[in-house]
Amino acid sequence: MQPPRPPARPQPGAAVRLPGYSYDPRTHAYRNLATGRFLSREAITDLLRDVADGAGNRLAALGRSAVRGEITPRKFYELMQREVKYAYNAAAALAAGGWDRLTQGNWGRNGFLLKTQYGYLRDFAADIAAGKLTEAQAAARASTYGDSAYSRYWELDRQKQETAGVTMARWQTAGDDKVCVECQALERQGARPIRVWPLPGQVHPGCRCDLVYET
Amino acid sequence: MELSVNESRRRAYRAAIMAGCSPADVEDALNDAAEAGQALPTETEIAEDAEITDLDKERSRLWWITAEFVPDGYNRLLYAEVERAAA
Repeated sequence: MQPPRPPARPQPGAAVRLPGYSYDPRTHAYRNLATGRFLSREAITDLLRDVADGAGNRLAALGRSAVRGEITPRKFYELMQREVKYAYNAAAALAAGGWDRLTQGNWGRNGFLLKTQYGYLRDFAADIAAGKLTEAQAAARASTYGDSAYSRYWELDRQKQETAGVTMARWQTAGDDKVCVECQALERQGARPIRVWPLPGQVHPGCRCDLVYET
Repeated sequence: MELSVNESRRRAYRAAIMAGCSPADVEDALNDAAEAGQALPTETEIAEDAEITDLDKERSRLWWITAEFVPDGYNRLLYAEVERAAA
């Protein structure tokens, strides 16, 4: 069965399914076919962050349900593993420039990363089963799986930039009063080789930072 | 119509006893099945879960669309599953 078509409005995320958007692999940018304009990287990463946050909220709700005993630890694992898989796949598709641009290697890497995450998830479910976590602790721990999907976008994005010959990047925070001290310190470091930076999403839970590449 | 757990057990019990099984064997088999359903996944199951099938790819696409365009819609789907599991 084919998934339903999204509403025809110019949303950056539509580029993942490609109708109305094209992806330019040379510039690594999405172009709105109706206007001919490139979408900013910020528009894409903002969208990804929104979706990752939404996933994080749902995962947190599952964590609370499991601690309350509304679902068994096994069911918790099953629902979590499915949601995390979808989030990883969508993040990778967005970084690659669309679902049809994901290579076998990209899918394989997703599977490898997911296997690691599922091992953690089983330990998480075991902690819930043993009564070691409060609702708040389980919610906080569950939501970090949304952050790990967010970092998958950045991993693939960085790889793409390196392939294109980009060697330097700088850390960019959201620039508001919610930015943590650690990320502020990273931003002050200015442009540095791509490889030295952590991936956004891995620095702390709920990280909203970007990597800005410099040629 | 979906049967309740108790009704399912009762019917399975009756069918097995009519087929000549002892009540103790039936009870053990049902308990083993229930425990298997609740056990945490093995390494093998985790490896299988991490495989990405064509169906997973389609579902991921749908996940993205619903997450982006109908966020509450996806929440409702997920929570409905939680409620079914809790019932």
